[in-house]
Amino acid sequence: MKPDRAPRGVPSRKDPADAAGSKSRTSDGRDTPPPQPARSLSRSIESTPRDVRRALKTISGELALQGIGETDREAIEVVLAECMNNVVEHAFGETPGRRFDLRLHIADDQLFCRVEDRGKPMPGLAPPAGRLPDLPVRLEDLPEGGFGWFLIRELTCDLRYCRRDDRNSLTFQIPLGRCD
Amino acid sequence: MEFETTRQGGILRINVLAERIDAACAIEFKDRIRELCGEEPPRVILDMQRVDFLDSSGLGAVVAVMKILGKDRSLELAGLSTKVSKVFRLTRMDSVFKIHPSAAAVMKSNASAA
Repeated sequence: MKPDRAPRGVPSRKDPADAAGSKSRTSDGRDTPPPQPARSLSRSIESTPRDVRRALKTISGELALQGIGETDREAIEVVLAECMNNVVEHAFGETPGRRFDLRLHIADDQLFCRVEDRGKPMPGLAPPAGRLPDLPVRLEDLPEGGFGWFLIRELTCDLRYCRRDDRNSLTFQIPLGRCD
Repeated sequence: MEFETTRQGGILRINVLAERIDAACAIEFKDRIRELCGEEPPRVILDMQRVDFLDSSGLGAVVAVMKILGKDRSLELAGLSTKVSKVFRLTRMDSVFKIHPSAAAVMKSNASAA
């Protein structure tokens, strides 16, 4: 059974409306509002593991600027890494030169995520269960794979997959406000 | 990918100098570590103090190295960041590996025991 993943308290984050209230001056003396932090983030990413790595680094930096705490960012990085690597490896079969889309939206206590690609559908048109064998097992029986979907399912809620018009769409939420 | 190795008696310490063990380098990581481990010594300590991030491919590669070493040798881990430990803990692989807070401490106690 999936444990209850209700967030344990919401961290205080800077309201973008407050940030917009203060003004800064440019060198020619005009008042300009400071840049408004975006609560939504959209990326088109090329289908290679190195592009995924780069995207993860920049996204983590942008989420930090949005006031998302370190523990939350760690979980987000793990989940997004697994989802994007799955697209590169399975949907696109490690073919470089393709692109996929990642959209994130920060709400009060959830990060809404959507990963979309035009690669191959998921086998059986469903995301894998991501079960790991019961431990202990013999050394030679230790799993070397299958960890990715396990991690995604552990750290997300409301995971949905749909295939429409040759497009895979995976949506899920990551609870924010973890304080472990 | 770069590594630094130190041999002391029955222990080989492999210091991973990469920041990430992920899908972009998991195969290279596994091949290089296998090479560095060679046929001996019995204990290999993988020092991960510089590693900031490990994904499921990286985890799979670490498990694969342990299986390559077989029953008569051991792969132990050291210096895991909170982010990296979390991946081991969530997947319960923390129960499969011997995990030390610091590789330096293991080497020191090995030196004084010798």
